[in-house]
Amino acid sequence: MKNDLDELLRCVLVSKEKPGDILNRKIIVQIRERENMRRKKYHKISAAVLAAALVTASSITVFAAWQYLSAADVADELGESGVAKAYMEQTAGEDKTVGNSEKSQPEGESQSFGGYKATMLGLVSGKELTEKNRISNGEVRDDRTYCTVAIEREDGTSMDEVLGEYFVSPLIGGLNPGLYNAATLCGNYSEFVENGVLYRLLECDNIEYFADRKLYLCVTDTAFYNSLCYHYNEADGSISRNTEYEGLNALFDLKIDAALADPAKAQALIDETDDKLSGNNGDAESGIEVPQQAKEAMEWAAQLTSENIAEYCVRLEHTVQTVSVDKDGNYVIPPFNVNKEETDLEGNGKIFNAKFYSFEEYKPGVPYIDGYGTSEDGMSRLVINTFTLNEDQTMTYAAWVPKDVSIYLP
Amino acid sequence: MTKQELEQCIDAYGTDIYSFCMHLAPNVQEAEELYQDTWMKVVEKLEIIDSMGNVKSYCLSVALKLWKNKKRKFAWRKRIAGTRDYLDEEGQEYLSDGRATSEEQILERERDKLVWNAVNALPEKMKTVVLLYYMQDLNLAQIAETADIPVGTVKSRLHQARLLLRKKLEGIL
Repeated sequence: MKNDLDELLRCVLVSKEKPGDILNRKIIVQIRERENMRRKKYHKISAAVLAAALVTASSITVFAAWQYLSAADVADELGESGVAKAYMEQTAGEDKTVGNSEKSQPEGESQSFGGYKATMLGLVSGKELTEKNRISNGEVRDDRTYCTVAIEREDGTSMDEVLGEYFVSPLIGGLNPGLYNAATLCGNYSEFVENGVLYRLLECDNIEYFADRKLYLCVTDTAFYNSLCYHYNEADGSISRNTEYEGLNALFDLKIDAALADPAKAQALIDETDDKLSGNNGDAESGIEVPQQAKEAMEWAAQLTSENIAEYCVRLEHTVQTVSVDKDGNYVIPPFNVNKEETDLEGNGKIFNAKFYSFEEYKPGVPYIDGYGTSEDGMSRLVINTFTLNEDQTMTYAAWVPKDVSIYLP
Repeated sequence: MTKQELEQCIDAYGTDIYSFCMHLAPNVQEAEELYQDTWMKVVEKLEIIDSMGNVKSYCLSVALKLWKNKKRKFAWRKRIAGTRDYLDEEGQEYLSDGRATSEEQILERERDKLVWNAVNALPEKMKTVVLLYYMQDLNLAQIAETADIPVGTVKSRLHQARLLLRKKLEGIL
């Protein structure tokens, strides 16, 4: 009997459907195109993570580098024709301004630290330079600053082969760079690698309004602003490189005509950022009302505690990571993915400064809720992150999901 | 594996992967999209494939994972836009393949339709194992690796699937 069924199934369940020649050719063409294609990505910089670490030594060198793509080429490559045009007009030295932008930054300045060379390729600001609307607080952000940099490895290794994140951001004198940077100025960036060089086009709210202050551009080999890369002098508001930092922590001076400053608009941006940092704007940042299911899930998650989480949730074992304190005194949690089936890592991991996590405050072996989040699907996509201090001074980080209803359950 | 070798793989395994996609996805359009996405994903992982023995089972596992991800999005669309019935459409696709219609072929087609309907009616996890075992000719260990489940689970699902299929197909066995 078993053989009859097996025979029948083997006879009927055969691969009969053939892909069309056109479909296969299309795939092969795409593969070949991809081989030649430059890597392009678009990212929104999350304002949620403002942490960092790492320390060491470095050396300053300044190059006049013309072997790179121009800022206009980079913008053009990334489909930002309006920005490319603004760069070209700037380079041509035309008197005509685009929006309120004007020539403000000599391109080609390079700085080398930690085995990397960062080169400032261009800076332009203006209104409606792009057709890609950025929306924040329900408003279109069309008054932006665009900054293009090239980052490469000094040993010639292609950036394609170098794993890691980089943070590029304007910094504003007199404002704490850990709080006021591209992440809080509604930043986005696009990037690609060509001939081993990473080209990044960063955009954020127009920083020309702060032109009466000292302005900088930081380039680091960290995913977000890292307070150990730079010193912020609260007394005079100046920002400087931490020369002890071993990695990339370039800091360019941005030369923007002080006449472009607009204290009122600058203050409005500061106020908006302060609201974000204090959480006053809640979910209005996206301009989208939180769906009911998501609200309910978040309210449900808010009831969870270290004591009851195991009763209502399941720990996803594939997300469990136990780390020791590193040489800089941090617990560094690598990126992970709550979806076991996806191999690409998402998120940016997390860094905990160990000095703030002692047994006096946190009982060993107890999972403490670090945060939670979901999507419009509510409970089915709710994820709760916990950290646990262990007796051996290690920290365990893990994601939990509601019992029975989560799509992330194995 | 080089891109040239990959192109040879498309030639060699295209039919297997395409058929698998056709029976995972609810319609030709989604199946072709899945098939295309599978190869594009495989391109990203060429170095990994170098160290793997079975290219076909790797491609099948990529297709399966992509489909599971797509399915979630599909489910969301379903809630807002509605979708056509899976089984009906599968049957229609199968019947509209343009084959000649001699009496013997008609009977064969009716038999095939019954089998496919029975397979398609299986719970998705069982159906996947059945497709990998009977249609793709993978062994239990390869299925376990492809579907990222223990071998014991493969055996169990296959056993359960056989019981269900035997019950549904007893009329033609």
